[in-house]
Amino acid sequence: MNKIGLFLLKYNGLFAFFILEIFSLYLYFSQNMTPEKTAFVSSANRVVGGIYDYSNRWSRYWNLAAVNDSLAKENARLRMKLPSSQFSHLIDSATIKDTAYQQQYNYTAGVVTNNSINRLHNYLTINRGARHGVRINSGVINGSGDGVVGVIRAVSNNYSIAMSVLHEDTRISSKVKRNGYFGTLTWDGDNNHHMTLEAIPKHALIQKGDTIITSGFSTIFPEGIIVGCIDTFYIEPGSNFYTIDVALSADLSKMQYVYLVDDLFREERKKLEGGLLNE
Amino acid sequence: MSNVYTANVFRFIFLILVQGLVLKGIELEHINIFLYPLFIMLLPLELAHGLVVLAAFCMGLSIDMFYDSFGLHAASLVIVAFARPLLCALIEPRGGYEVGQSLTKHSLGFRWFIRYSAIISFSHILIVSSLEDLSIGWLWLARILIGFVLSLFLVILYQFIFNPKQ
Repeated sequence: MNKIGLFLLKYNGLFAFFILEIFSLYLYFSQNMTPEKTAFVSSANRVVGGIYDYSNRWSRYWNLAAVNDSLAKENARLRMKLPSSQFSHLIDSATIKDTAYQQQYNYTAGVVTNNSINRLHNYLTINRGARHGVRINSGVINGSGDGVVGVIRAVSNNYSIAMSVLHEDTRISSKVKRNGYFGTLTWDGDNNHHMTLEAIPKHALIQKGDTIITSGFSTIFPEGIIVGCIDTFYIEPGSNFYTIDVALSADLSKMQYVYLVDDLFREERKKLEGGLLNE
Repeated sequence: MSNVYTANVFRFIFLILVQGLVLKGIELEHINIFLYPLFIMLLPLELAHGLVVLAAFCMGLSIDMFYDSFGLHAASLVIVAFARPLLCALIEPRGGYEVGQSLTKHSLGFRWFIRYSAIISFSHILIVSSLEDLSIGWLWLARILIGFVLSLFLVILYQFIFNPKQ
C-alpha cells in the first residue's frame, strides 16, 4: 500500500495530466452528442451567466437607439395587423368564431447575454431558461422579426444556449419564397454574413435578390421566417443542383433581443414521423 | 510563502475576467488572443507538478465557461502545464534556477522572460488552434501566427504594467 502511495506521489504530475487531459478531451469531443450534460461548463451556469448578464447590462446602453428603432418598426407592423387598421369585408364578423385554430407556436422574448460570431462553432447564451418554458430544439429568431439566429441546444434553470446558425453543423430547411423550391441551408465557416443553400434543383428559376424563407418542414422554425436573400449562385459542373450564396438578413454581430419559438406539436409530429421511419 | 498564493489567486481571477470580458469581445476573423496562459507561466517553479496541472485544468475550464468551448481550453492548458518543467529545462539560465526563484521578468531578466513566454504562448496557441480546426492549412497557420504575436505582446505588456515579483 505504502509503495503504491509513493509511486503515485512520485509521478503525481503524470497522473494528474492523464486524468484531466482525458476528461477535458472527452468533454470537447462529446459536446455535440450530449449538450445537456456538458451545459455546466458553459456560460449557461449561474456564475458565468451572471457575470455576462451584469456586463451586458452596461454595454446594452450603447445600442439603445438602434433597438428603439427596430422596436418602433415592429410596433408599426403589428399595428397594421390590428382589426382597427384593416377594412373588414365580412358582413357580420360576429359569426366567425376561431375554434378551428389552436396555438401551435409559443414565442418567448429574451436577451442575448453572450454571443460569438468569429469561431467555427458559434454559440449564444440567452437569459431565458427552463423556468420560462424554454425547451431544447426551440428555434431562435431575431428580435426585429426577420432572420433566423439559431437553435436551442442546452437549457439550465435561468439560461439557455443556442447553437448559432454560424455553426458547421447547422442544417436549416428553407425555400425560395417566390416559387417554393426547398433546400438545406448550411454554413461553411467563412463569412458571418453569408450562408450556403444547397439542393435546389437546376430547373428552378431563381434570380439574384430572391427572398429565402424557412420551409416549416422541420419542427424547429415555423414556415415563412425570412432568412435572407440570394446573393450569387452557380451550378457545379456535373451537378443537378444549384449552390446558392445567401446574404443573411439578420446581423448576428449586433443582436440583443431575440424570440424563442417553441413548436407545441413537436413531440406529436416527431413521434408520428419517427414511428414510420423505424419500420 | 502565503504571499505567493494570494498573488496567484488574485492573478487567477483577474486573468479570467480580462480574458472573458475584454479579449473575447475583440472580434477579429477567427483570431484568438490569449493572455490567460500567463497564470501557468508565473506559478512558482517548486510547486508540485500535479498541482500545476490541476491549476491549469481549473483555469482552462473557467475560460471554457466564458467561451462556451466545452473543454477545449482546459485540454490545451493542461498539456502546456504538463510540459512546463521540460520547457523550463530547455531555456535554463547558466548556473540553473535558484531555490525559491520566481519565473518573472523581475527575477530572471527581460531576455529570458521573452524566450520563456514565447515558447509557452506558442505551444498553447498551436494546440488550441489545432484542436479547434482539426485540420492544417493556410488559414490555420495565419491564425496561429497572428494570434501568437498579439498574445505575446499582451503577456509582455502585462510584465511592464504590473511587474509581478512573485
